[in-house]
This record gives sequence, C-alpha cells and structure tokens, in this order.
Amino acid sequence: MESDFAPSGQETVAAIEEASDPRSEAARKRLRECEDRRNACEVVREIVSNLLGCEEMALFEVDRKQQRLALIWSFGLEPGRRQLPQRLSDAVLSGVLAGETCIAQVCGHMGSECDEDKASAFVPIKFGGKTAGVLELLRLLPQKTKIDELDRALLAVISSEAGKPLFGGRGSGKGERKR
Amino acid sequence: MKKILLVDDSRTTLLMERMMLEKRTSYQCITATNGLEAVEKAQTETPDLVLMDVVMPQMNGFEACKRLRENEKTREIPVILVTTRGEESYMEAGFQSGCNDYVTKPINGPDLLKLLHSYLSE
Repeated sequence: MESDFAPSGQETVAAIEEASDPRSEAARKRLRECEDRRNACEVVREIVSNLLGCEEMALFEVDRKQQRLALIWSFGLEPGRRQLPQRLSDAVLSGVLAGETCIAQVCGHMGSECDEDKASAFVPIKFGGKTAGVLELLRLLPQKTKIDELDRALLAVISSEAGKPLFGGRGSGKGERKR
Repeated sequence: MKKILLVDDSRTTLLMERMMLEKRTSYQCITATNGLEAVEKAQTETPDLVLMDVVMPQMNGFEACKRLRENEKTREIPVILVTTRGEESYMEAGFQSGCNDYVTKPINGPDLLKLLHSYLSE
C-alpha cells in the first residue's frame, strides 16, 4: 500500500461506531430500498454529499477477471477528471480489490489549492463475495476537514449494501449518468 | 411536546435527521420536501422550529424563509438553514432571508442537538 493511502482496516470499530450513528443507519435503510442501479447511484450521491461531505465522486465497475475498471457513473466531475488510472496506483488497486477501503492520509478540499485530481478515498463495492465496483471520492467540501471514524462506518455501509442494487443486475447498463 | 418541521429534498437526509431526533430527543418531527410545501405546512402545523435545506426544487430555503417571515402566523418560528455551502456570502444571504441560524452539511449530530435545544428549551 503506498504511503498516501491507508486501508480503513478497523471493521470492529466501524461496527461500533455505526451502531451509534444515525447516518449509517439511515444510509443502510435507503440502500436496501433501492430497486435498480439508477436509484442506487442517486442514493449513493445523497449519502456521500449530504451525510459525508463530498460532492465529487465516480463509480467504476470491476470486470469479471478482477483486472480492469470501467467508469459507469460520476457526479461533480468534468469529463477530463473521470480518468481513474492516473489516481489509482497498483498497490491501492490491489488493496481495494481485496476489499479494503483506502483513505488518503491527507484529503483534498474544494476551494483549497490542492490538486483537483487528488482522491480522498477508494471504497470497494462488494457483491457476490467479490469487489464488484469501486467508488472513488475526490475533494471534500471546504468545511469537511477529514474522514473520521464515523465516516469510515458510513463508507463500510456503502461498501456492503450498495453492491446488490448497483451490480445485482450486471449488464443491464441502467442508470448510467455522467455529470 | 415540541414539534420540528424538517425540510429537505433528499429523502436520505430527512431520514437521517428524523432518526437522530426521534432516537435522541422527544421532539415530534414532521417533514416537507421543498420550500413551498414547508411554507404551507408551517401555516397548518405551526411547528416550534423549522430545520430547512437551502437548495431545493420549486422554492429554495431562502425564499421559503422570507415567506415564513412575511406571514403573521409563522414569522416568530425559529428557522435554521442547512446547506453544503459554507461561504460567508452565502451565509449572509441566509441571514438576510430572516433565518435565525445556519449550519453546514454534513450535519454534526451533537452540535445540532445542542443548537435545537437552545431554541426549544423553555
């Protein structure tokens, strides 16, 4: 794992935090209500922007051989910022594909002078015992200083619950939207 | 029992706010999904406080706040605006619309509960 990113790796802590955090509880309920990919993308956007504090995100689908990622949806990103490979090293990619949420040691913020292509987190979206997708979060809102333990619990909910509505009907191509 | 009108076009945000308040307080929650509905509900339900998003379809939070202040029945109800935008100019616009307070997303639960309590305690 390269030095900029660290795996969250604290599932127990996340579970304890989730139990006391209404954000995670609400996120889980909303994701379980999703009927298709389009709906799931919108709910993921609401969770990440309103409950976590990041309005720049992209969702990638992992191919069946677990080798390549393909963009299927993004929010808040201009076309030139939707290219993943330049932001995702092999080390981080293998961590995420292994199911680890990787969070940047120092997150980027909107309105600051940081590199606008700086990723703040890569979240594996799990389905069928594998990492079926990767949710990338880029710059956080200016007032959001870091991704804390409660946020990790929230990301753990997305990781475990979003897979079914997003990838349960693989190949449907529904809900693709790029903004 | 104190009554809070929660206003947001995000069902996820409304659900989270409602869960937080119903789990940790005795406040009664009612909801609206845009400013127009909020103004109508405020008149019929006369809540003790309005917690309202700014960016919404049909009528935004600034306009809804102005409407609440123009109506005799709702002009004294405390209004707290909630938004992702934290810039000073944006907050200034909020206060010009007549809001009492302004908080930014993501909501910090304990801080919000303290703020609500400060307005709703006898």
